[in-house]
Amino acid sequence: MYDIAIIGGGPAGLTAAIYAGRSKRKTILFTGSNIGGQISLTFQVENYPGFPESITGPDLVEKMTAQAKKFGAEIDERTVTGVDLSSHPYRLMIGEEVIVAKSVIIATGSNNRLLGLESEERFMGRGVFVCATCDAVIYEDLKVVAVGGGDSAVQEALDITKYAREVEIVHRGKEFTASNYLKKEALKNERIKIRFNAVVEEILGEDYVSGVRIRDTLTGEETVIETDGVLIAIGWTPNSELFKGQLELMDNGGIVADDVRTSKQGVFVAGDINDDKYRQLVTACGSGCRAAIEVDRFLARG
Amino acid sequence: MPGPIDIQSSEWMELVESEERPVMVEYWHHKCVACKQMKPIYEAQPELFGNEIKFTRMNLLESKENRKFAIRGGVRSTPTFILYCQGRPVGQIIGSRRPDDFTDEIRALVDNAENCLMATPLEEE
Repeated sequence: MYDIAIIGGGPAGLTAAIYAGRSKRKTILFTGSNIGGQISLTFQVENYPGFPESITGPDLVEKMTAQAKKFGAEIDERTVTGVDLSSHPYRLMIGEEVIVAKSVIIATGSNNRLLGLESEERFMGRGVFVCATCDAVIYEDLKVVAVGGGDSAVQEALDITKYAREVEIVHRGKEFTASNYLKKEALKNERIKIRFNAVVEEILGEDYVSGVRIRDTLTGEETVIETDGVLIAIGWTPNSELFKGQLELMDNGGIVADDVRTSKQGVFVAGDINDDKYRQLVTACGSGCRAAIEVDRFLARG
Repeated sequence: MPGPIDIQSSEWMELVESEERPVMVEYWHHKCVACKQMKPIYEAQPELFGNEIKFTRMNLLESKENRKFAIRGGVRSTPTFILYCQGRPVGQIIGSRRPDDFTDEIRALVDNAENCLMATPLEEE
């Protein structure tokens, strides 16, 4: 039996594993296939204290993993397929195998929210993309429609203009929710066009994306915009599927909790799964640390 | 066995199309995290396949010509690995893979490319 089972191998889970391992608690962390989580998709991490020369996301994950292992945490790359939190000790299912633990830290993070269109799924990787850092270069001299109006949509639209000849931002609201600085940058960029009060109804094309059909939410009028790429940047969905029926969930899919403490004794939550406000590397690490300290107190009480 | 050869789109005729063996081209760039994850895995392949396949890679951030070439060739995500026979694409692998899966998929692409190898003019007897 483990003292602590951590689900999720991003910065929150890894920080919790470092603390738990260092407290000599028998610890296992399941990364699943998405090793390192969202930070693995960041090329240069420039705002993590202690790395003035910047560090790549994957390198940082590698170092955190090594640090967790050094303190004795087991890192398992398999995916947790089910949990049973109805009785203590808690049980985690990995396919056929069952792991038993006295406490659980949920650090499963969040994924890009998608529009939920059938055409979006069909064209994923064929013109539809969610990672501008990865795929912007593919749109040299082409046109991209960026869907969304928050910080990440506007920042990524600006990044794409380094390559694309035009980026048209389609946003359902009547103004951006992005920060003032980004708003101004977008408004003065000649390569950016903006369409407010518009929603994407369908992504069009044969083998690759060739356009999007949008609807004006005020007039109901539909228009087709020709485009080579569609960036989806409409926010995040907490990865809480595994805990449906086991823990109380919020409307946005996050887990009901008082900071890192869920409603179940010995079950804690950390990182972006419950953060729609800050979503920083350092805040994820911070909550991973708090969860590990709470776990330690829980285990000490016996 | 040397690692993958770095190529430019301008060298396509010389280094890919006129090659008798199947040629693998990785379309990548140095800010792409998945490409970085795949780098050691891709670099290990020439050792495994010997002379059967020629392994190359094209950095899309090196020139606009490289980017436009990749786009015309249907690349919409990095890394994309496309196997060519005399310049004709015969299959592709998009995104990152675990080492063994990657090698297996390349093996499947080469096996698929057998008919393309048959089309290579045989030496006259």
